[in-house]
Amino acid sequence: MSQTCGGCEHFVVAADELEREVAGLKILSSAYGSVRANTGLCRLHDIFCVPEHGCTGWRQPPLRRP
Amino acid sequence: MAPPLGIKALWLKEDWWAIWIGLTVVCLGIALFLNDSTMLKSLAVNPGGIKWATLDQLFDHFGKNADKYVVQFVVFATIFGVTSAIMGIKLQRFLAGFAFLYLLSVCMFAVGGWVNAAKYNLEPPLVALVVGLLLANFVPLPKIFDDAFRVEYYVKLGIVLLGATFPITLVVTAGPVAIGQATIISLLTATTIYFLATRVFKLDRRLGAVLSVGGAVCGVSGSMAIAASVGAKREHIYTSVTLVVVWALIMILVLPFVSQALELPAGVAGAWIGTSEFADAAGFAAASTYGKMVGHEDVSIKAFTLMKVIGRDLWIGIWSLVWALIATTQWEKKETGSRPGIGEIWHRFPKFVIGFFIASTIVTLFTQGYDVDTLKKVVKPAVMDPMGALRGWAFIFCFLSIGLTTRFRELKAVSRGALLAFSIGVGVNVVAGYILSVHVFGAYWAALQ
Repeated sequence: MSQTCGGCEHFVVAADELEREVAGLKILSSAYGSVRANTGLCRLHDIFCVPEHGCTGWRQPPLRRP
Repeated sequence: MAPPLGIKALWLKEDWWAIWIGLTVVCLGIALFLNDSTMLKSLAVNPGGIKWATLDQLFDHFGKNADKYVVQFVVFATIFGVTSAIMGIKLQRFLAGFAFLYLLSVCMFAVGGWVNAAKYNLEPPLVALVVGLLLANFVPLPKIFDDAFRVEYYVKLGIVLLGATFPITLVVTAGPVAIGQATIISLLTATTIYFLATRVFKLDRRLGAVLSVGGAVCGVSGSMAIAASVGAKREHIYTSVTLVVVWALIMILVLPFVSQALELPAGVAGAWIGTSEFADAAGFAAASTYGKMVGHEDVSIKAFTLMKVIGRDLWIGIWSLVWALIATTQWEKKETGSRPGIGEIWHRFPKFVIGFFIASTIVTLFTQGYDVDTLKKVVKPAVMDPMGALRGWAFIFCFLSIGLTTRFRELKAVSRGALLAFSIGVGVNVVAGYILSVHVFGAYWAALQ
């Protein structure tokens, strides 16, 4: 797995999860809109970034049981 | 900077669903008309135009059209439920909230259809907003309802359907003026807010950037579009949410009445609202309200659409690219990151606008073959009017959802500097928008039909 935000445990990019993380986002906006593209939230640094970014705090997500 | 989601965006983004649904309705509507079917008209039924004076008349309307309302609910719930489920929203949760939203919407139309509604300023958009706000803030609604209150999805579909009643020739002739006015406003407001935020109030430049685009272009969506470009913090978006929501609501409630007091023509007021409101949904509520007040809803909505959707929303991708360039070349280097490219403009482009243009082109080409009299007496009542009524449904879902999602206790506090920088920017926006809409391009907007 590549060590970029896209593959990091701290990165929140799914629209439903992002709307839960950022209270009020869906009032006059939406995480499902084109303008967000694939911007996500890094829970570690509390900043917005895209999957291609990365940092030294990268952590592998827990493996999902089949 | 941000690569596209690829083909997945076609079914994971609400912009694309608004296009698929909107264009299907347009094509289906034309096909049904050509086959002498009145199905589209039945599907667009609502009590908004019956002008009832007694409750008996209202209940009589529901009694006679009960089957149509049942079919309508099933069709709406299926379309919105299935597409939302594909985007990742749980179907059962969506349907529970949507049933509630639909019933409330029927009530809003019924209020608008009262013979004395206009006398008491009971315009459905305003009533929907106020009722939604009261319910969200004073009634403990089940949380599962929230999944159906999708402000942006409904307004985007409404805009695509709006294209069906909007001649493409008008877009071509009016576009340059709208884009010119939007450019002036966008640059003026963005630089004002950024300068005040960073130089006068010494705020974090990332916050200054997200507030500047939020105020100048498209509210929270604008702020989100550049959030990754500048590495904005979560609290910066919270600040944008609070300021945009509060000011957008104030302007929905104030601009229509100020326009009325100033006796502005519907087109002029629509353009002014388009330059003053940041969020599409809020702006449509204000423009629709004023249009209903003066009896020219179509004109104020057309002017608003030209100004906001065609003029200002096109700036989203451009600002995203500009801020990405500034952040990567002028600010400190990030730990990692990729260079912004021109593709950023397309990745962040509000795609539903494409649906608006296509719907407008399809209907304009379709109506070319009819003479003016047939168009007015036959085609418009059977095709354009039902599409307009379906647009009305999408917008009423949207206006109610604005109120139903706005829980003031959930909004985060903002700093004094952010409040002042943004509020002064709003003031500049409103005043400059007024000067441009009323004095500089006033004759043009007033002549809009």
